[in-house]
Amino acid sequence: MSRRKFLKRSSCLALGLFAYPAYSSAFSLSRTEDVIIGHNSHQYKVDLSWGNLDPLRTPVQDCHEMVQDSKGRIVLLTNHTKNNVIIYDKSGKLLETWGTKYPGAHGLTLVKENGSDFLLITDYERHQIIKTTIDGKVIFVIDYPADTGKYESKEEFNPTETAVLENGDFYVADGYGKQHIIHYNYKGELLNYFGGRGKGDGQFLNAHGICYDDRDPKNRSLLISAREMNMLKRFNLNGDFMESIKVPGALICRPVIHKKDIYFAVLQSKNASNSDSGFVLIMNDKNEVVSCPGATAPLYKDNQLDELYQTVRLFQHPHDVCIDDDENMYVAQWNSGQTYPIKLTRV
Amino acid sequence: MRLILIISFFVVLGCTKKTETRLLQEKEIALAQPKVSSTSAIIDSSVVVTAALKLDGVEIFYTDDGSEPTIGSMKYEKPFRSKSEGIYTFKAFHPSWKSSDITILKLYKKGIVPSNIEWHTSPNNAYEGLGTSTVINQEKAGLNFRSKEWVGFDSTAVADIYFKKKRFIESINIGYLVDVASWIFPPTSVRISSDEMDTIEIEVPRLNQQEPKALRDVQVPIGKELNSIHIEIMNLNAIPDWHDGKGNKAWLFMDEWIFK
Repeated sequence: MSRRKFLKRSSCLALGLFAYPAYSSAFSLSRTEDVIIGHNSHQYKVDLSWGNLDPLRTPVQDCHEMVQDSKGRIVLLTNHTKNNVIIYDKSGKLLETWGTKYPGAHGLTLVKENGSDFLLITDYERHQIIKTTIDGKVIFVIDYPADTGKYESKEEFNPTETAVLENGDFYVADGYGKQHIIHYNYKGELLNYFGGRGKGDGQFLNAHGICYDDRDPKNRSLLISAREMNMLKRFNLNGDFMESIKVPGALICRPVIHKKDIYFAVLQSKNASNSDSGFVLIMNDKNEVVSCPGATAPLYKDNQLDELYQTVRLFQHPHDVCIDDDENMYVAQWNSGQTYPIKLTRV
Repeated sequence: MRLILIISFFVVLGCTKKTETRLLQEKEIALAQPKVSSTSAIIDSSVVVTAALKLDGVEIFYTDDGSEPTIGSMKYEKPFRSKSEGIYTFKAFHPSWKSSDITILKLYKKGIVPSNIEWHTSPNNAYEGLGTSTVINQEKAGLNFRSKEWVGFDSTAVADIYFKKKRFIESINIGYLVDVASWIFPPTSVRISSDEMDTIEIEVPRLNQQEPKALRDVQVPIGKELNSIHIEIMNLNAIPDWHDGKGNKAWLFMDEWIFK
């Protein structure tokens, strides 16, 4: 029983109302059961009403990414230039909006510096990375990395994601461009680059997302999704390839680390006949898939994961997930008919 | 009176709650289509058909006459062998989810294998398949257009087909892919000619809206004894207005031509 239902029922019981037969039938909460999705340790109820706003006042185009800020607020990035950033509380109530100049708003990363929150936004239409304060004031803008010698024009650089280290260094994934990972210091000065388009170990097809994995303090690393390859790749902080983790059938967007687990929005099932065949995927601290809400249960045979695919048409094109401090999840979707995020409540 | 007031109070509370959170209920969302495959889509002697939707509680029912399955249809229990061509239709059911859309598997009897094919136009460099004989190699393709069983044209496809000796051809079946998200559309028409018969042209219905990826075919009746056949398959010149790629040329992807 959810906490909310428990409280409601407790207060009713205190008044002795359940003893009255007419009440119990009139107050039947629903004729059907709440659906639960997911597997093993990670199962959820689905809240389709969370965060729904008036589309005339606060519209979304694609809901690309979400983060939770230090105040516990849920920050959504959309490529609708009426309000690129929409900030909710955890109940889905609108708190504020800002941003009108990010037509290709795609990647959103929270940066905590000296007790203040900042955001790193990647914009694939502007071909830039923009650092802002949490309320939208621009701190710096980074153009395409001409100094790498890998880019002839800004149009070749279409950044999708960033990842930030404790010292402020950050990495940018050029996931819709030439597939390089570019390493900058906290001031935005170029330090290194690696990757590039290809099927080799250290290369990518659609390096869509990147995150900093500090779960093992002795082996801090970068996790980078190669979405088209249905693979997560690990690199050390110098850009040396370490390992690949296969997720057959799953077009994984960025890895999102929450506590010891990694969460992914999966844009599509690779071999589905319908394009809107996405789901959500969760790995444990050993990088094993433990739950796939909306898809097949993960099954390993001889250490090989069976192909994953959508089993119910709940999600369309999930593009990012955000896990809040209550362990609930928010799923932002691309190309889903301008719908607002879906909240998954952990059970 | 007091009791009515208390109940009214809770009715108001209950209603308020409902507008705040609406949890997904059973039977609101549909299952995904079952995944269906066969060892081959072209039957020489027999093929094995497999269907799956790996979700606890799912039951899959099917028909072999092209009609939509119900829970009164044949229940899929395990992979089965099929020796005859036909249209198999599968549908998944579950107590907590709406039933799925159907998945269609079309099985074809192996046709007469041509001795040679001579192309007058070329597929796009990126989608040459397994070479010039891809469309007569007795292999159907799946839904992935990158598979080597597909040849992809961005222009009209024109070829001559030769048989070792004069054969009675009842019909020709042209298999193609629909994948509108990848700008792959049905052909607009198929034109068949030969020295030994009048030209036959078959129009292919156009798509009016987005459709899921699908394997389709167009059948051209012939009913003649022939040594060779000239085949022209017309590509869609301009993608329709309802599509993001409107005005651009569509792709035409074909996997197999079957000569019955």
